[in-house]
Amino acid sequence: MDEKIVRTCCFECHTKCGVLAHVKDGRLVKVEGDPDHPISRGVMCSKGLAATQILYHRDRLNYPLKRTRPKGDADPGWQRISWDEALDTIASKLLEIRSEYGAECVSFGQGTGRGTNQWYFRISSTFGSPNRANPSEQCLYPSITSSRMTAGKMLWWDWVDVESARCVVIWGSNRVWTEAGQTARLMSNIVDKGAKLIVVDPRFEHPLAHKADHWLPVRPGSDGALALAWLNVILHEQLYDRDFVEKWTNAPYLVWVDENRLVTQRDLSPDGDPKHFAVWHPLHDKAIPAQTSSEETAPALFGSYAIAGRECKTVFQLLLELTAKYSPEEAEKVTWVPAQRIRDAARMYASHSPGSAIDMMQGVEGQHTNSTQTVRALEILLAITGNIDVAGGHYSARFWEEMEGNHLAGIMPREQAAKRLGRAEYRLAQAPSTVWWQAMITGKPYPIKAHVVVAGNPLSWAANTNEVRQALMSLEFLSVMDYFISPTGQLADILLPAAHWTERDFIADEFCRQWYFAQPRAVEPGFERWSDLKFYLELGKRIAPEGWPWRDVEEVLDYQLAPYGKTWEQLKEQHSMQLETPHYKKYQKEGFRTPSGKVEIYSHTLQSLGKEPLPVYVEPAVSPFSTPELAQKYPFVLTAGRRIPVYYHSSLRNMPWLRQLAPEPEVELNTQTAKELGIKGGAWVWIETPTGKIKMKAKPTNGIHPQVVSATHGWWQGCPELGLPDYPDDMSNANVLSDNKSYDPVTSGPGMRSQLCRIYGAQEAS
Amino acid sequence: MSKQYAMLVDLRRCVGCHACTVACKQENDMHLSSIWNRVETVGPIGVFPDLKMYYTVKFCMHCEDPPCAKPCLTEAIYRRDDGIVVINPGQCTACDACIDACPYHVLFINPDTGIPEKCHLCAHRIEKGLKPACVSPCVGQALIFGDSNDPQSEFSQAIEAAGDNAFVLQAEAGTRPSVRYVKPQNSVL
Repeated sequence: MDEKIVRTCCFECHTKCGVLAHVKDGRLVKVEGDPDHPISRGVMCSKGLAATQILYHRDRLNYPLKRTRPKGDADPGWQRISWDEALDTIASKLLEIRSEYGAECVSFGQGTGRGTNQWYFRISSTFGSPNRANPSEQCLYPSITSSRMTAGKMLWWDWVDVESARCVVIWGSNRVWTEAGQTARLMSNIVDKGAKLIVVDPRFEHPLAHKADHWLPVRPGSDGALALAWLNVILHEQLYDRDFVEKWTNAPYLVWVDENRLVTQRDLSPDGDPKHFAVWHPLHDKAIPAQTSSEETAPALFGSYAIAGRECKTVFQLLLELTAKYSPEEAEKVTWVPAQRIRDAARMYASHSPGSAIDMMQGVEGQHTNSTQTVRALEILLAITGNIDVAGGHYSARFWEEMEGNHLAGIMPREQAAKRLGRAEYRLAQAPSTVWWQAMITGKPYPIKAHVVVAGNPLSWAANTNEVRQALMSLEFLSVMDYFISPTGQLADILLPAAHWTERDFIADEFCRQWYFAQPRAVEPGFERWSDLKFYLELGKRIAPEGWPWRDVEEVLDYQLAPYGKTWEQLKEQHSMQLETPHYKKYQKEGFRTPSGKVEIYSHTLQSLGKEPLPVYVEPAVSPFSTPELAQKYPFVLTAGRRIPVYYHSSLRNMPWLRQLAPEPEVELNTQTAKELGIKGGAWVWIETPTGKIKMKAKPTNGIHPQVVSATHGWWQGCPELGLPDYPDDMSNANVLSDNKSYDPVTSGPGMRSQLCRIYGAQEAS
Repeated sequence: MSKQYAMLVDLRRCVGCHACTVACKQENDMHLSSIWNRVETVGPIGVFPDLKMYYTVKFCMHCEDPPCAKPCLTEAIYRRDDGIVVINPGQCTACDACIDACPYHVLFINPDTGIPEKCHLCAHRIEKGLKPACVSPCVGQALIFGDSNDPQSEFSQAIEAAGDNAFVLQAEAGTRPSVRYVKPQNSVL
């Protein structure tokens, strides 16, 4: 018997936990956590541990298939074809559309992807289409965009140092479930080292809320007001890091009150530099050029001044005035969090700084119509408390600066980039997904005729499923590559079989802090399954050969590693390589890559785009406060998309080991509310918004505000082994409820997690 | 002195993620309907927003005085010298008497064979010097395995550190479980 253990990394999510894959006679028999992996240290989650079930599931796509019956037919008449036929069909369709209508009339899609962002970017750049229809606006892009504006670097995600922070704030994040390997020593930090824990989340059944020193059950979508309330406490009680604020933020910069823009040196003198700014010198009692050096005399942090009779204020003064409206008592009215908890939590966070970390994710960013400014407020919070680039705070890994570099992502021709749908309104981030769907349906402003999807199921991830379905039905051509036939796959013209992570050679790069890891295949790919990268390469050879000059996947991986003087074979041999030695306070040498070289409390970028330069709180597009009339009919605040530990987004419902642990699509509502509505636990209920309605099973709990309802997402798949049926026709698909009209003005996130709904027993369905 | 294998479940550290359950499923050949090692949520109790809850993990308690063994006429269930309570399927008559005898409800009938099955602390791994499969993936390091006879073992050290916060489930049942627990934060126990 041939037995081996392959050292690799998981990809049931982006965390890339180290895995020891046990293989017997070419068959994967077991996976276990790699105790020597420097991040996950042996930790694995239920999803990763189900790898053998996923790899060998009987419903996996094994061969390229083509549709032989019309779209919409219950039986697509799938017929097996060769990879060559599949690729030739896709390539000829894409080239035909490009020559007849333009490359922009093809969109490339993915969902969360399988770690192939750079190659996904590259296929669209090299083909020349600026339309990448993917959910980044409701995922990581708001935080990337915002932190680049604020600090010129990534402040979030893989290096929020919750494992050694003295105070850990979990704010709209649930990584012990969703990205366990990234939090491998979080509980040790709390239990053994006594780190403080604050959880900001609407749900008490969040896995850490009951362990927290303070739980702040924020009304979904009002996180921005809560962050301003923390800032209110910290500013009034002077709990900020004055030295950092003075030297490394634009807090002392002067702003014209009438124009709401920064005072430039050109404003002070005709030969002054319009790209440099001004501060108030308290001793000389006049405006002087702000120096980028840290040696200057301390400028005024607060105050209102006059330059030639015109009023200006410091950025910090404006922040103070903005936060003045959000005392904990006032914020309680908006956020529904008791004022004392707000005050206690803000003090705890600030008094343990530097060395306090805020772990913020999709509960805040991307899925509210006001999320960019919430993220901005949190960035200002962590900056003024001195938590950037310190142990126990927020460090920025080099990868985030490279992922989208031309080296990997390719170069989009300028004239094509200019054609990106929605670019006029959304300069910094992609436009709301509705722009693609509308282009598919109406052909306006130009048609999208073909859509090439890898690892994506927009019928689950995108807002307003009905619009997405209509759009996909309107396409001339759709290809979908995945493990299983998803609802999106059901509408495809060509289906492609994706290799599981245990069947592919790849580099674990994103989300790996200072490392790259080899992710070699444990077993040979089954049937005719290909890795996503192999598909991009072979398609690239056909549609953009100059951008894909490699013979095989190994050459592509070598190309990625070449700047580090490594080859794929070498990385595989050594398993990991360290890209940088982390060193804190890098900004002391490098400054911040922002227009001012400092952390921008007042965002010059946002101001120049005509957006709010300070983190002004705006109510969600719909809420009891912004749309009180609508709230009469839809009295509950709905947050959709809370995580289930055994699933990754809309996948894995067909894995018996996992499904039996979370069998039903559940909606949580307060026990008392349920009683008043006559809703019993386990009963089917309708959840209805102005956009649509779905059925889920009621789960009454004391752990949620009486006026808040929390729905899960991603339900479409059945599990025959457990007698659980599919959920056809979007019966329990949470995005049927999501509105496709209102979006975040900067990063275009939809309001999936801050909607209004009503809820009633399913017997009233008719 | 012989080894006495035991497990400590530190409820302060459990985040209810089910990794242990699936690790157990992967490691051990069990019927789909059996869940040898399951995570339960207790609570939330109280009135919003003043609440308490915790997660707990239930599996065979490997009792010193195992009640499941008592009704077994063929001695198919027994406690090994190393403290692990096991079922010998070859000797089992599928009478089911053990199922209800267990106050912890952690024995499962395999519907295909009629034979009960349960956690055996991954005895096959322990024999190779490994820990039970549920231990290493745990993100909270909530499961602490070791030899309770060895004062230097991780288990013994953790029990000592836990002091009065360590307890056994349903002590009144008098089964003297080898599996112990550490009380959760803001204990509702």
